Amino acid sequence: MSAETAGATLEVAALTKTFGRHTVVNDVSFRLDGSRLLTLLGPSGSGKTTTMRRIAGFEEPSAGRVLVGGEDITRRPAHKRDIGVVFQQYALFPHLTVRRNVAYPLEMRRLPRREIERRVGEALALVRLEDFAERLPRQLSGGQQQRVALARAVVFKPRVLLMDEPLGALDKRLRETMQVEIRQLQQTLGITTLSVTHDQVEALVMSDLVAVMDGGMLQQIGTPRELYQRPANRFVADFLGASNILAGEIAADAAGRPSFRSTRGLVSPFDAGSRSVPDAGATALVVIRPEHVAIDPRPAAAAEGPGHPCVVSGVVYAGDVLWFRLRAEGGDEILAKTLAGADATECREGDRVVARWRREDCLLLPA
Amino acid sequence: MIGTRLRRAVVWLLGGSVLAFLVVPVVAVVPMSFSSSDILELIPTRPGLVQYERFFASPDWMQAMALSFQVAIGTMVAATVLGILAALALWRLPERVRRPLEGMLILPRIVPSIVFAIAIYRLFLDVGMVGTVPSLVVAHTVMAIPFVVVMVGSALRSFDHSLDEASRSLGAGPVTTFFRITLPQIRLAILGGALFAFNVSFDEVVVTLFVSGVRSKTLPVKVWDAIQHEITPILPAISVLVIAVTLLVLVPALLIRRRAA
Amino acid sequence: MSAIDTLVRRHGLTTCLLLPPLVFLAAFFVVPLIEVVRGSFFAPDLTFDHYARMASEPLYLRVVSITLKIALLTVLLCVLLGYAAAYLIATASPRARQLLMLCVIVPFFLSTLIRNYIWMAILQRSGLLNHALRDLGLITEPLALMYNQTGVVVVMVNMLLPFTIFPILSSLLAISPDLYHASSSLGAGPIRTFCRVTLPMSLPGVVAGALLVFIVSLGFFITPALVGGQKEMMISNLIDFHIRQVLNWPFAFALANVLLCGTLVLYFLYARSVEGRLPRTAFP
Repeated sequence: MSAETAGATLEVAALTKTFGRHTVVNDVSFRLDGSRLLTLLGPSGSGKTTTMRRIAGFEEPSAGRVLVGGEDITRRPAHKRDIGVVFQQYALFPHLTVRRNVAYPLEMRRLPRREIERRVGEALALVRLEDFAERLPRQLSGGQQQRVALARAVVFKPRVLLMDEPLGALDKRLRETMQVEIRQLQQTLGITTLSVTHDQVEALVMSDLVAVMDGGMLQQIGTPRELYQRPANRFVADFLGASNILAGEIAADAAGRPSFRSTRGLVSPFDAGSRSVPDAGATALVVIRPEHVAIDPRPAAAAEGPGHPCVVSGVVYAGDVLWFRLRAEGGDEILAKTLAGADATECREGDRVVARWRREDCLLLPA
Repeated sequence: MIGTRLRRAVVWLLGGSVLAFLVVPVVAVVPMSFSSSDILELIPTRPGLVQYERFFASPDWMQAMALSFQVAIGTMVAATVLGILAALALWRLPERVRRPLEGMLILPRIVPSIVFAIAIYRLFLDVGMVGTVPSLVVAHTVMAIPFVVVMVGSALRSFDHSLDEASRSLGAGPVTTFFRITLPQIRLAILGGALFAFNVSFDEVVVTLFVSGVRSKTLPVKVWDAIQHEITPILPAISVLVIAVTLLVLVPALLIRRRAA
Repeated sequence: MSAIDTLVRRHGLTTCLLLPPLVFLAAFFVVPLIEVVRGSFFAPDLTFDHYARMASEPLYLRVVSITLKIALLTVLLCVLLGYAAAYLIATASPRARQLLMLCVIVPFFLSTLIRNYIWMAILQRSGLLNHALRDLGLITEPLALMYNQTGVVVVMVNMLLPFTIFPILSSLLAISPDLYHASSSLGAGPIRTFCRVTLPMSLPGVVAGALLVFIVSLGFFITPALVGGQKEMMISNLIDFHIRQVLNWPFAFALANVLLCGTLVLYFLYARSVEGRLPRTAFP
């Protein structure tokens, strides 16, 4: 298993899948460069798993193409695609030992016995399961099973690795360790990987690129940072992390600069990003991340420059952070997140405070 | 608390009587079979193995038993192969096509034996096959297929579809996948289905009465004739033997079915 | 046609798998049955005479009414006795339940013929029951327990009880114990809990079992032939009689067709009533 071999590119073009009159995947296209990890992120029913199954060859697409390393494999049967798959429940063969499970793809390729032994040994070493080679899957813990599944999916050096909710069956602690472990393994092997998940943290932590899907359509594709900081639409903003999404219209402030006014009257300057600023009077949507909302608890704060006077209507203590629900004067509800230990920590329900955010943290979304 | 205990007593009395009604006749035949007398008696006055000896010494009965085994084994093989094929196909079909097909494959269990008996009798008369071993095997196979389909089918339903997909993604074609992954998972259910199929054939009497003609009589048909003519004292012994064979075949089959459930 | 083409193309392997069993069943099951139906109408020209005869002669109507009567009696007794047995099994401890289940399962799978024979040995004039009763001094003359409807019904109930016990048991076991606790915490005594919770919730099992017993009873052959007398002929035996004694095949086919259609209609109803409520098995 030599490291740093450049993986094959994976390209999906205009993929569509309909079941009867129901369109499950609608015109999905993306391109993943070799050795990178892309996560398809979306709620259940968003079409992400269907997209993955198309790429694996388990179901035929209604339209569109799948290319690996520039080669069209759309019509090729699953067993001739050379694509490794890690299944949600691992799909380890229950009647075969760990060793036989991992050897299976190599036996299918009729490799010489020596070679099989060597590579199985390497793969098991890679996931630190050498001592468990003779066990049956049911004798392993969930985390160990997941590592066997991983070893089995990469032992034959597939051109692409697919992972369907790879950590879905594990508990929270183990999931966090495995996220790092899988990411390291993927980078060591330099294997082009497509992962599918509904867990936004997992997507952000593990991926080079994240593609958000909803209703069978690709909503946005980009690096985790881009997606979080510059969500392309309301769905992405809402699905990735908690968000304050306010609806309203474009207005001009005292100085004649365009600003946003919510339906309930909250006025704020905004950042249009790469989008052009709409004319005054156009309906608009803005998103403000709760961690960008600063709370000033001093009674005199309101007098000190711009800010939004609010009343604290709820406090939730979550250990390392505190969540505040604020009600602005017009009635807009704003969620704020503060690290424990900050100024605002002592605020109680009913306190009058001032909420502030920077112009660039109030992002305009297409209405 | 007396109320509770009284209620339990009533439940046990009522339910227990019903269960006794089911079990006692089957058990009663065992002591009867050890009688040496020519009249039926529950507790033999002179116990012995006379009736068993008579059975094993009779070429007629032996011939019938040999034929029964021959037909039952043939049925077991044919029904198992056809049943597995059908179950596999059903498993791969979408729900909306599967349901009606499944219904059709189960139908031989539903159609009254007498109706199927005269239908197949007529067919075999037309082609001059009445009384042949193949005709018996064919008729019994029709009736045994549903058992195999249901048993193998339920094993397949509990079989994790993703194992099949995993095998394919790892480079195994459909045939290799079947023999290396699917088959080992449903092996027990296949064995169970095969045993049920054996039992269906070994016990079948209504259809066999017609299809066997006068030439080749299976054990149940011989028993039927014996009952019709006179109640010979040999019959309890044969009953015990048939019950023994059935239990031998069914106990493993039932255990398998329970494991599968 | 194109729909079938797509199906074959998409399910090529499936079709190959399905073909042998389907061809086999078509050749040796479906076609022979169709021949029976056809034979009842064409001999060789289209005629409804056999059906007309069936409907007009009192003898045949009597057979049909006896068949229905015996079947209904059997259903009634199977439901009552089956419920008692199922209730005992459902409320027994898990260990006892295993054992009690065996009492139902083992006889169920034993040869029907052998079990009928054993009942004949018990019920006949010089049979075990009459012997026992006389030895106990309860009777002086042997009772006629066999070759009459009573005998047929007793034996048929014995054969068919498992068909009601299994579905009733499975619907009883499906009732969550919490419901009993809820009911008693809400103030209902055990009798009222039974009437208001247990009974209504196990009704699907009762209906399924009753329908099944009725279906199987209608086509019963062995028991009426062995235990029943000439007067208790059921429809199956009448069919047999016309094939093997009278050699009036078309008339036997017409009778068989009536029995077949009745059975299929009832089975369809059964399948609809059971669908999704009880596990599907070929051996209920």
